[in-house]
Amino acid sequence: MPRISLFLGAAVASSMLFAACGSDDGGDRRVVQIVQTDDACTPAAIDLASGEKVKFEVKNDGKRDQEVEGIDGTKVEEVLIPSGKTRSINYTAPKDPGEQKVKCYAPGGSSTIIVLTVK
Amino acid sequence: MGFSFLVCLREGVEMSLIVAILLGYLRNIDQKQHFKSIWMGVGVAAVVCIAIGVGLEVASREMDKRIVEAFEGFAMIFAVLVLTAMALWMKKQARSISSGLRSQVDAALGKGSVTALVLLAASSVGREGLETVLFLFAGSSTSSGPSYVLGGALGFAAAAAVGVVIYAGTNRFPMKMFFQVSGVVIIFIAAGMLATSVVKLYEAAIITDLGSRPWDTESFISMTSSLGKFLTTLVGYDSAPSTLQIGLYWSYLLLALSAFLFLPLGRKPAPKPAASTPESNTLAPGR
Repeated sequence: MPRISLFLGAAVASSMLFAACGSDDGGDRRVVQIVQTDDACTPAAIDLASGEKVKFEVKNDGKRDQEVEGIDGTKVEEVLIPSGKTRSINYTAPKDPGEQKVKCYAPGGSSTIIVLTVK
Repeated sequence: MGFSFLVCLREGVEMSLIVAILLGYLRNIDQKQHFKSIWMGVGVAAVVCIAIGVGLEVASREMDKRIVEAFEGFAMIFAVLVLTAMALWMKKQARSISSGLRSQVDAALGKGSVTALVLLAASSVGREGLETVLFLFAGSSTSSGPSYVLGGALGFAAAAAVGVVIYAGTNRFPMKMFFQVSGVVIIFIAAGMLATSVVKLYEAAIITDLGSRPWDTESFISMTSSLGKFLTTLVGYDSAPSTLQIGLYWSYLLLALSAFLFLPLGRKPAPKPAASTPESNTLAPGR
């Protein structure tokens, strides 16, 4: 048994080492609040500077667990926000000006789009 | 990365064990000229498994997102069933796998058929390969990218090294302990996968409510951080798990762990090893 726990310990330790490989770039990010309700998501539009790093703080005020994700190539990861909770998503705007889209929805329900305008 | 590493290590060691037993046995009976049949079989298995894996990945990219999520959710549940069966089965069979394969080699050689030998290698390695594809696909819904591939490659590399050790037969690889420890690890991974599967089914709008969420550890380990994602894939971490997830996780974990640790599978006294097979306890294929 002690050998087994040693083995397990080594496995966990090496796994943690792997986890440490990918680091989060925290730093100074502008915080952008997004609020979800059961049938809407605000604000409808967000302006971003070219290459700007922001942190979306998404709060779900709806009764159902909802999702947020980038669509049409927008690199906002898909995140499930449980009812009543707030989740943060880091995002870096592209260098080129244009429009990016983020979709908010409850699975199986209607969705709203937030337009990110990169200037 | 940790997930793909552990899956590929465990499955890879099973493949290595099979190949080492086959090659070791052919070496022992002076039939080394058939080595290429075994490698051909391994090659066939690899090609088929990779093709199926690529097919799954391509198909899931073409499909509607909600269908993909449903597909992933069910793949996870199926993977949990297979993972559990595998952990229990390996516990029971670890001792007899060697003799079983040897008699199959004898049968294939008896027919004088090279094809039979290729098929034997292809089917026994391919079965493990298909399991690997299933688990990696199920895990890739919460983790992907270069580190996922790297983890898998490292797992296979380590498994290949184990294969060489087993084949050489000089160093007694602690096979029984490996299957015991990796069996426990696999049950923890499967418990997490089961808990995550219902989130996928919620996202696919198949389950409409996951239940209340009694706690929130988001400020401690965020779901969107690297560590959070890593733990989600590996052990099904959720900063605010629902009652459904918690219930599934713990009931599965308790049931599967007690079955694995306490059911008397394979605990029956093994038949006294004959004098000619002193290696039967370590599964070493060679002398």
